[in-house]
Formats: sequence, C-alpha cells, structure tokens
Amino acid sequence: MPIAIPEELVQQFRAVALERLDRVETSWAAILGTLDESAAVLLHRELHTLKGESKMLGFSDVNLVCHKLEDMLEVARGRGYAVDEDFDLAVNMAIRFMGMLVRKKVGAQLSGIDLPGFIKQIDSILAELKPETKARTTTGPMQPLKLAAATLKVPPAVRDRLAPIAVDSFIEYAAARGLRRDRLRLSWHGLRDLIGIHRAVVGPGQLAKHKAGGEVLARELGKRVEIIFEVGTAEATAEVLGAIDTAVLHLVRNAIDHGIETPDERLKSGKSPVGVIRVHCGAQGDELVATVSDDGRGVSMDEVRARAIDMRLIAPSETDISERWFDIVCQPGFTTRSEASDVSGRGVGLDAVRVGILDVGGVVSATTTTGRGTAWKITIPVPRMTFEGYVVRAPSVPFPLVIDSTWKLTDAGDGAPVIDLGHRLGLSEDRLKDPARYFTRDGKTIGIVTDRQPQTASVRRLLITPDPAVAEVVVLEAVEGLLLHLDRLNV
Amino acid sequence: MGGAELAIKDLDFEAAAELESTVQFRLSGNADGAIVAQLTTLIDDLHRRIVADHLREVAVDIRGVEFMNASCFNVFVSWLNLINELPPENRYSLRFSINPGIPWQRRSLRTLSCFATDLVQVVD
Repeated sequence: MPIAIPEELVQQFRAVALERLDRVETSWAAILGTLDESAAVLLHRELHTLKGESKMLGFSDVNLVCHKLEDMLEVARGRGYAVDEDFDLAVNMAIRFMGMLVRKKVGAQLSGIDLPGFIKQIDSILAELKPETKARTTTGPMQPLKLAAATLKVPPAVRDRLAPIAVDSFIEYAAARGLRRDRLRLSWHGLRDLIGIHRAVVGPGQLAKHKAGGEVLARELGKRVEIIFEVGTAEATAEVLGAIDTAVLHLVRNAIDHGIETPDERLKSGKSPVGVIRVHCGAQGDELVATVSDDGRGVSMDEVRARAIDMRLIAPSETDISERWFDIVCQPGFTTRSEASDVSGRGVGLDAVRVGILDVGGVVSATTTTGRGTAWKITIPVPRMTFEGYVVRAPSVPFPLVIDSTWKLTDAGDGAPVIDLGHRLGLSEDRLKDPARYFTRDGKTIGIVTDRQPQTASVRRLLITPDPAVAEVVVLEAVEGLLLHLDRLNV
Repeated sequence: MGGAELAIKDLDFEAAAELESTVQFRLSGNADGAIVAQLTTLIDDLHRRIVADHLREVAVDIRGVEFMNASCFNVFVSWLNLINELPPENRYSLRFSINPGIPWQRRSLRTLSCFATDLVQVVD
C-alpha cells in the first residue's frame, strides 16, 4: 500500500519545483545567449535535483520528463549548445510541460495531457540528433566537454575554403520555404556541424581531473608530489579544449616521471621531499595561455644530447644543445628511457603535445634549469566567441542581420552608400534606397536599408569566415543570423 | 463585433482576430523575439473577449507563419494555461490550421496538443 504523502509536503514541492523550473528556463536562455558556464552548471543541478525530488514525492510523470530533458541537454552540451530553433522549442516545451504536470493534483488523472505522446515527440527529436550516440549512462554532475574527440577534424585550410560556402548554404536555407527549407536545413546543418564552432569552456572542471591521476602515478613511482591547479574559466572551441586537455595530461605525467625526484633525492638536494607541479591556465587577451611547471631536476642536457646522437638527430660534434633541446625532446619517438614502461619511454607524449597544440594554431615553448625544474608554456589564439552587435531587420531578409558594435550608429549619413541587403542577397527583385540607418567606423559610413531602429544584442559566433568573405553566421538567443563585415563590403 | 484593435502589424509579422459567433485568429510572417510582448498582449486581450462573449472555439490559422521561435511559441502554451485555469464550463478550444508544407508547424503543434488534447485540435 503506497504511503500517503502529506499535502503540506506536496504543496511545498510544487512551489519549489516551479521556482526550479523558472531557473531552468532562465539558465537555458543564458546558455544559448552567452554560453554562460555557471548557468549550465545551475541548469543541470536544478534539473537533477527536481528529478530526484519529483520521484520522492510521487510525481513520476515529472520525473520522466526531467529524465528526457536531461537527455536533451546532454545532446545539446555535446554540440556545444549550437542547437537550432526546433531543439530550443522542444526544450522550452518540455520545461513548460513539467510546469503543467507540477501544477496538476498529485494522483489526479492526466485529463487532456498526453504524456506518452509528449515523450514520443522528444524521443523523435533525440533520435534525429544523436543517431550514433549511445544512451546516457550517468546522471551526475557535468562531465568535461569532450566533443573534440568525437568530431571529424577538418584542416584549417579546408575549413577556410568551406566557410563561405556554408554561409551561402545558410542564406539559402533561411530564405527557403516549406519542404525546400527542410531539405536545405540538412545541408546547412551538415556544414555547420562539420566546420562551425563547437564551443567549449576551459575551466577547473575540465583540467583539474588530472590531479587525481597524477597523484596516483606519483605514488606508483615512489614519489611525493603536490599538484596545484590554478585554472580560470575561458571560452574556447572544443578543439582547443581537447588540445589543452591532452597537453596538460602529458605534461603533468612527464613532470612526475622525469622531473620530480624521489623524496630521498630531493632531501639530498636540500629540497622538500614533496615536489610541486603547478598548472596554470586562463585567458590573456585574445589568447589562452597554459603553463605546467615543476620544481624537479630539470632537463639533463647531457642525457638529451647522448640520446639525440644515438638517434642521429644531431651530429656528435654538436656539443651545445641549449638552444635546440626543446626541438629534440619534441621529436616523434624521442625518449631518454632505454626501455618503455607503462608510464613513458615510447617518446609519444611531448610530440603529441606539440602536434596537438600546433593543430589548433598554438605554440609550445619551454625553459629548464638544472636542479630547479622545467616550465612549459602553451599559447593558443582563441577567436572572440561572443560580442555585442546591432541587430538589423531588413526588408525581404527573413533572418536577423548583425553589425559589430565597433561600428557606431550615426545620423550623419547623407551621401554615404546605401545597401539594400534583400536585393544584394538575391532575396528581392526591387532595390530600395530608404529608409536607411547609417553605421560609421574609421571614417567610413555605410547605410543599411531598414525601417526599424537597430537593437543591441549579445551575439555568439557560429561560423567564422576568413577575409574577404563579407559575412559569417552568428546566433542571437537561439536564432541564427548573419554578421556583416561592413569593412569588407564592396560599396 | 469588429476585430480591428485585436491585431499586430509588424515588419514581417501580422496577426489579427475577428470575433463573431466564432473566432478567427490569423497569423502570418516570421514570429521572433521582437513580437513576443505584442503577441502576449494580443492573446491576453483576445482571451478576455472570448470569455466575456462565452465563445467556445477559436480557429487559429497559422498557415502563413513561416517561422516562430520558442519564446513566441511559449505564448501559445501560456494561452492553454489561461484556458485551463477557467472553470470547465467556460473553457474553449483551439483549432489550429497548419500548412503541411511547413514541417515545423506539424511537429510543434503535435507537441502543443500533448499539453491538452481536449483543448487543441490540429487540422492540415
């Protein structure tokens, strides 16, 4: 016989659950708008808590929709939250659906509410988006964003050539109607998923996971080590996160295995028996900078030189490798170990670090001091992901247009060239001259035909195009639009 | 009763309701975040008029709506909540006419009907 839950508790659950759903809805909007990592954490926590509470209080229908929504959010996170309006709508509907279920009387019949039908709708969306994805097996807190590993790697040169084609694909899709729009959506989304920005956040949660593994490795090697992570939160791409993740893994393991001495050796050298490895990572301007430093023995130039001569990387006559040691130790297959162990000796780690970082446009450097330790530095340029822009709605253009807010609105536009973007994009036969709003920067003024006052909004980049492409695809809230590089327009 | 005041005319979105013995509510264009507030107000006003006039059904014609974002669609969900809060004898139903050539309409309305199968009907 089921235990009756006091009505007071049920009422309390309802009030709290509706507040949670408010926060879930707000957090979802914040994630789509600005990729706010704290909002993502809050959303997952609130939803997971609601799932547990609803089960305890007998709201099995709420529990079921919570579970489905968690599945959807898992998919969204795997796509760097680059979801389309249909997905956004489904998430919003699921939140609202739960609100309705929370309000209904517990145990009451689901009069008019088609829960199986709703679940079926969500399942069909999930099936469309993750045909090859295994079902989620954990419901715990956020896992690191590891999209890079699952994403087909496209060389930067190919990406640059495909990007303007993808922008054209977006325009055609966004301007199409009916079945043609659905067909073109597949083309656009295919290109977007292949070469668009897969957003990710580099933060403590993504890198500090290597602390535990490093401490275990140190114990296995009979060493004592303190690994200190000083990691800020920075927005990046999934590829950058993947490269940094791999680099930190290898550099921490390398420091433990090669750099940090045993406690006895350290004591004999006048050091603390506990070695220290510091991992620092954070945004510095338009770059992501990571350093991994240790207070170990430093790189032995004699050992590196001897091994390099053995491997015929340098001539025996080369006695000073102080300027070349870094290039040598990063050579594929280079190791100072005569035999490979399960930790090192295959000469893969540092090569993997350098190649991985080079692949995402970054550089690796290192300094070492005998007896004092080694410091590795990784610098990766990271494109600006979000910015403020003016949103312009132009006649005949069924999607928002965005002007970077480094351009300023001006009333003094008389005589400046005016662009009818509907006509320019081939979406309208007629070419309008007015009404127009004028934008100015660095002495250049351009008018855009629009009869609405441009609004400012936070915009997220979705598909970056290289110069001389005049447009790229961005996202405002969950709506895709076109960012115009006015400086590249031929007017 | 004329429906002149129950209307939105925006750059690329229009909505207008006419109340006679039945209610005709037609929407067309692109419904994005810019018109959420107007649409909310319009539907609130329409709801009040329907209840006052004891009308039983609204024919909602969205065949001309090319795009509707989640914020706008949520206005329909809120509309259903408003109807559900009425005493059963005062509730009215929504009969949506959709364009089969615009797939999102069928998907979204099918989902919306799950909220209240007794209040929502979808017609191709």
